[in-house]
Amino acid sequence: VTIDHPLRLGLGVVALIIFALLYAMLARRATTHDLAYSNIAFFRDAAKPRTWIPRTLQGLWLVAFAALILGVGGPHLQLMLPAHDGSVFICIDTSGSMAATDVFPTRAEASKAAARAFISESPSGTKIGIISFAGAAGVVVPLSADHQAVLSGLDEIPPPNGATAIGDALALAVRMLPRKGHRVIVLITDGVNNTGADPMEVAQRLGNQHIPVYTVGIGTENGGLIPGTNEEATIDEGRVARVRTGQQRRLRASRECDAASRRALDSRTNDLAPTQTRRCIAAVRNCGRLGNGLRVPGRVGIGTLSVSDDPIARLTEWIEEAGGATRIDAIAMCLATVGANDRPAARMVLLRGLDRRGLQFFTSYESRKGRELAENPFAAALLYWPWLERQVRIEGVISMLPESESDEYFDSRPRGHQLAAWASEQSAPVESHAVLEERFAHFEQRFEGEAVPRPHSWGGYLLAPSYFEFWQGRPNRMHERLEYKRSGSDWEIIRLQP
Amino acid sequence: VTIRDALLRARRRPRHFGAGSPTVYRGDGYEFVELRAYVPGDDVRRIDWASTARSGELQTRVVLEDVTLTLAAILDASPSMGVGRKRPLVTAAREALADWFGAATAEDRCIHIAGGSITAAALQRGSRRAVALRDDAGAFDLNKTLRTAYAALPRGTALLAISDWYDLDAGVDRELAGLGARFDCTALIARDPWYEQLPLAGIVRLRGAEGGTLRGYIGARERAAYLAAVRAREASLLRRFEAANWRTGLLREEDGGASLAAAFGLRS
Repeated sequence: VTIDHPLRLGLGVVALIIFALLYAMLARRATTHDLAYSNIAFFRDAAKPRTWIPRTLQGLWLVAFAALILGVGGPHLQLMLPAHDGSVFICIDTSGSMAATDVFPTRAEASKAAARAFISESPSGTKIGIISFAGAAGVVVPLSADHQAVLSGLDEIPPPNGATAIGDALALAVRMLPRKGHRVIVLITDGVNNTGADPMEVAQRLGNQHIPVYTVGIGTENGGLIPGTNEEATIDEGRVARVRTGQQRRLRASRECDAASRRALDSRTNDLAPTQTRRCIAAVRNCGRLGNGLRVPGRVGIGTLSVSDDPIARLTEWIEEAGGATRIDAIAMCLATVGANDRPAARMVLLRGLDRRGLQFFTSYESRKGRELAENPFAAALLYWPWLERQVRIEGVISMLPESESDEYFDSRPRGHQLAAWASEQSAPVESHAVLEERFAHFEQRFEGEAVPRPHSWGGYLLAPSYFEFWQGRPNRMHERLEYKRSGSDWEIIRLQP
Repeated sequence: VTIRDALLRARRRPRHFGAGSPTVYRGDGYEFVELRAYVPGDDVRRIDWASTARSGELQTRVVLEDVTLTLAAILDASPSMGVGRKRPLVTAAREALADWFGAATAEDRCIHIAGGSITAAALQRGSRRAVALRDDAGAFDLNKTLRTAYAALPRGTALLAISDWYDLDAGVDRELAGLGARFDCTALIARDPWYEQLPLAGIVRLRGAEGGTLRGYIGARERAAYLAAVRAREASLLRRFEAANWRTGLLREEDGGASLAAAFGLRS
């Protein structure tokens, strides 16, 4: 709760206290105006007047007065309510610099992915429109509450080419937005404005109309090459930041304005930061690159699954699309095994290799999965990429990798990981973590100055698949499922209902 | 019939003889009433010789008895008597007191008792100035005044006490009885100004005549309770005084003289 006029409130409270004290004093003193009675004690005993009634009324009166004073103080509570009736224009930069590949696969594709994530996370009812801009701005999808239509409109964004007219795009968005209601502009750009209206001017106008602009910068600090040219694209972070802070700049400029209007504007813009816009920023942050090292996925959920006869190739492709081998959650795989006790057990492992033979992962042979695989070589694995709405189920037989391959992989690991493989007897009980630390230190000393050899209890496994199921999420749960069953050296392919 | 007559006729007629004012009783005095035939036993000094000679039979002169009354009064002039609907009760009380002392004839003594002091009220027959008494400025202490009266007044005194009797202690009944046995006592009880009905409703603020304030809600329930309590109090006071052999009356705000007369069963 904030108080608009603390001075008024303070004065009011002081006045209230003085008034209450005066009132109490005067009420105590009988005046000649009061009706006289010969003996008050007798009257009190005789009539037993209800004294709590005037007392209660006095109390209520005091409360009312206090409330009035509080009201004069102007308290207000800012509640952040999700706005479902908002209108959002997403302005996507399609200038030539957006073809740069410093963000995977390209800045333009990353922008689309970010927009897609934002749209799919927006609450239904929010009207979303898309504007693409290069040398000139154009509406790709007008404001619509049909998010599916908006999503499909993303595919119609023209390929990166031309100059960057951020100002024109913002101006167009303002023209297209309704005159009332929650209005938000999300600007996805690399910020190199080089034509059209001055974005800062437009941003000021937006500030006047209380339309917040959330700007998402796309690009790395080092920039990247634009394919097919020798140009190098950079990101104008300064400009991006300036556009993003247009609101604040305006507020700062209006410091000379009277306090009331500034406060009104302030509270207004706060109210106008609806939840989905924050989600947008979060979604865009997750997908687009904002200096956190994450790679942006490429094509997302496009087209129907073609029936390819090579599941390994398809899996490789999907992993690449999910971010490739360097992205942990692209290669995180759930591995289920069944031991001699016929009870299944599942855990996550990292898929460290994929070739014609099958899927490879590395672990301690003495771990629980190692023991269970020794007892029962059949296993199932699952890869899931929720942001792509994709899942792959794999089943098959597991065998140990040749020692040479295990050695090769072990040597590629960081030294700390290698030492940990020595220090830990995986899945065996340990008294305390300190014991582990001690053992780690011990092996650190033992292998000081030399390469750490692979422990014999540690190595790779190969999951030779005999079954695949590829699952591609689709709107309205009309998912696609393709099943691959090994029959001899070929794969039998069956399309399943969702 | 006057208050004085009523006092003399009362059962509690003071045994107080001697030269004074003629009473309604025929006896030893100076005021001639009639001549009648001699009855054996008549004082021979009362035989009217002139009329005996004229009539040839013994004639006796009948005269009224001469009695000197002592009229004492206690007036509660404390602030609690200063209330009233149209005028203060104490005004009516002063009227009653004026009538009381006004009843005195030449030889009667008038005594005003206030607190520890006794004032001989200057008396002029027929003059109401007699009651232009200086009230004791200090607080009126009813019980102390009663004790003073008991100790200081001569036996047979006619004592009038006017008060609202709020301060009458519960344990004072024995003293009241003592006063009733010793003197011809009359108590005038100031009737509550709101005896008929309590003219209050809603949230009211009352000021005590002798201090204190009260703020409360008065509704039908309170009014009924008040009336019942007032009536009960008055009845209880009347009972107590009658038990102590006092003559009782109610002091009404409108007319003090009439109230006093009513106490003696007279029409004013």
